[in-house]
Amino acid sequence: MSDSSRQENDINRLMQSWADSALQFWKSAGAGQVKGGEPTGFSFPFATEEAGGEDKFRTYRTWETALNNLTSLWQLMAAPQNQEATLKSAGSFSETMFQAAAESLENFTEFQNQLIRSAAKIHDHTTSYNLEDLDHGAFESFRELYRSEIQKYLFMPKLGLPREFHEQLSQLADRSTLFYSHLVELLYLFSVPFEKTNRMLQRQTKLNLEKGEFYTDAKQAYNDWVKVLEGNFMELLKSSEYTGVLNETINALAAYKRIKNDVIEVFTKDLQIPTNKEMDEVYRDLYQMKKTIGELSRKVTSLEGQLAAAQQTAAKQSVPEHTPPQQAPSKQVPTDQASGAKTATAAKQAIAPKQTSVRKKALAPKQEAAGKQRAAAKPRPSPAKKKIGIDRGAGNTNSTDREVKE
Amino acid sequence: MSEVKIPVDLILKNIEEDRKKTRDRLKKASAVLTGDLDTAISTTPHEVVYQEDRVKLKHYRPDKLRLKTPLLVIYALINRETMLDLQPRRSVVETFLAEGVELFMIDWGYPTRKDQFQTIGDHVNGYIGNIVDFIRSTKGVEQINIMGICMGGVFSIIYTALHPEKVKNLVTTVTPTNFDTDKGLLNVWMKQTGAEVLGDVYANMPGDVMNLGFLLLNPARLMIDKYVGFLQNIDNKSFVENFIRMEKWIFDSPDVPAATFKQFIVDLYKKNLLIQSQLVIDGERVDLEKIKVPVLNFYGRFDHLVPPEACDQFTQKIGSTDKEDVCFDTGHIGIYVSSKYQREFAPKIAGWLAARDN
Repeated sequence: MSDSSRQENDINRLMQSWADSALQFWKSAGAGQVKGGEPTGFSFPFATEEAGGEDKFRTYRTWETALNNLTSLWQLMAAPQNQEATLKSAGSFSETMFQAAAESLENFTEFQNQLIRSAAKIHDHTTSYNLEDLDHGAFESFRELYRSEIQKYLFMPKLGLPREFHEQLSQLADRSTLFYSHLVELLYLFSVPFEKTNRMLQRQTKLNLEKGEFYTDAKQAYNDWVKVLEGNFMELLKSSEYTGVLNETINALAAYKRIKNDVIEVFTKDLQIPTNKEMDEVYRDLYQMKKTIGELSRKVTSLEGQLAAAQQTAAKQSVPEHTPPQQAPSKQVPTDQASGAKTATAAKQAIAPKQTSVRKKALAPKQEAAGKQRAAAKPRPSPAKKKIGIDRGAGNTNSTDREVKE
Repeated sequence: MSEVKIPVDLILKNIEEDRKKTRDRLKKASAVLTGDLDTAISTTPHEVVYQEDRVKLKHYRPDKLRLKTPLLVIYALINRETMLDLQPRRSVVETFLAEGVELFMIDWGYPTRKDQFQTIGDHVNGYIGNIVDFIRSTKGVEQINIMGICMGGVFSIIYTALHPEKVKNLVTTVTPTNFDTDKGLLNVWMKQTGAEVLGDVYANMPGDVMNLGFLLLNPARLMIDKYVGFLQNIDNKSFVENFIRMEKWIFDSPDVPAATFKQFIVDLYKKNLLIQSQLVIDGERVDLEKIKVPVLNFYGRFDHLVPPEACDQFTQKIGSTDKEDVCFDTGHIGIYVSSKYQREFAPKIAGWLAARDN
């Protein structure tokens, strides 16, 4: 048997099955209605508990229960003693619906009117190099309609466990609508100089034609067009109208981006990917740590300079007196510290770098040569030099410093 | 109505000629565009001698050294320093080397999200400070010459005011210092909008968004006329190569760290603190009076990004007695890339530095 005939049979069987079920449904429903208003109960005879056991035909049995409840409710509402209340409720419901529809229609009509008025105004504004009187009523009308007729539905209170996420989605829809409306308005502004330029050139061409003049060179025509266009753009871009729309677009973009980031974070969190907010916290800590390390490194450098100078001075003073070097510093400290500090400051002024960052390295292939040059330039090597990247590769033994830096 | 005589025959003749020219041009263009094009930029030999995070220091050696003091070029965080070396024989770097100037140039790299907290202070006292010390140390000099470009000029001014003892001469080029002017569209926009908010929502300010803003400064020329010009010269290999080089440079825009972007907009564009010597960087006031080194200040008369009014007050506010303003009849980029100013700009700086190289 061919594939197509098998498919045909399958479809026939499916259709037959559906038709049987539908027939059964309406038969049962009808059976429930004919017994003089008494709820007899709606049932699928083939789906009884006896026929299929407890686990089979559960769906059918759920339908049975729901339909029977609904039938009971209808019958209760149709009871003579309840008819008045039912009719009243139905009346007020349709009245509310009608009122809402009427209001929406009214607003829509008003919007259309504004739109027509605005469209008419837009065509009035064709004064050359004058963009102060542009009319953006059409865009504002749209936003007004959106705020009064659509936004309120987006901001209806959300309920339950996913409440916050639903709120974010609604805000995303809201902010994107507002952003795009501002963006379209901005783009519209960019079309205005083209329209003005074309009109101006049309007028000019008409005047020239009346004088018997016309462009013989297309390039000249283009040059004139682009020059006028540039002028019109300059006027537009300087106008308060443009900066106002630009500012609103920037603010709308910022609001849209913020909520978009929030929504994206929900998904990244769900995917076990660190969110931008989480990473930003890490980056902030890293940034602060680098600054702190830089500060500490500077202090260490300064102290090392002071210490080296103090030791050098102490050693010089101790040699003529034949005093053991380790005994000298105790009484000499104040003097040595002062001179050491001075030496260290001078060294720092000369070469000490101000470090704020951790990862720092010199890549000069001529490190050795540079080191020699530096040694020649400076009378005395100072610990401050260790902070300069180029020295690090050439045997900085300050392990703490190096570990931190790398 | 008087009788009108339109030279229809001439118009038709021109149209036919244009059509033929266009056809021929497109035939040649196909060969040019599919052939070998040399569009490499920043080709002058150099080595990277220092690196800190994303920031690199490029070193260019002249064949014959004429100046004892090396020159450090600090470019803006917007676009890249490759602009000074766009092509052979039209390269500021090349001219400096020919004049015997030893050149160091900062390549700011591409900031990532982790750099978003870096402030102006981190760039000036951090990266620039370390680089200046590195050069002083490796070259064995107490002071170096600094040349700042645009935003990099602002950084170099701040650095010189905060660390005057390390700077021998300062050259500022198209550097805005007075932001309280309505002559530049950027000044108008930055003052009347809350653009700094974008720094927050994007973490860093995207280079492409800024580039779009720069294109919108003159859409007719930068988005239409420029490409019409390209089409008109599409069969000219040399023109196409130069055009592509410029395109490569202009759209190579690193992001700007959010904290720096916001600080620049608020403290400079909105509050105009620099020229009033009220700007505070890392807790220290940037007092322009403290700049007592010789200063050479360049700006462009037709600069639409940094108008002359934004540059010409600087030299009046500093403490230097040896100072000079130079205004070229060109725009923001023309100073560095136009053929005419290639012959005037870098040689002028080299001569000025040489006269103060004792």
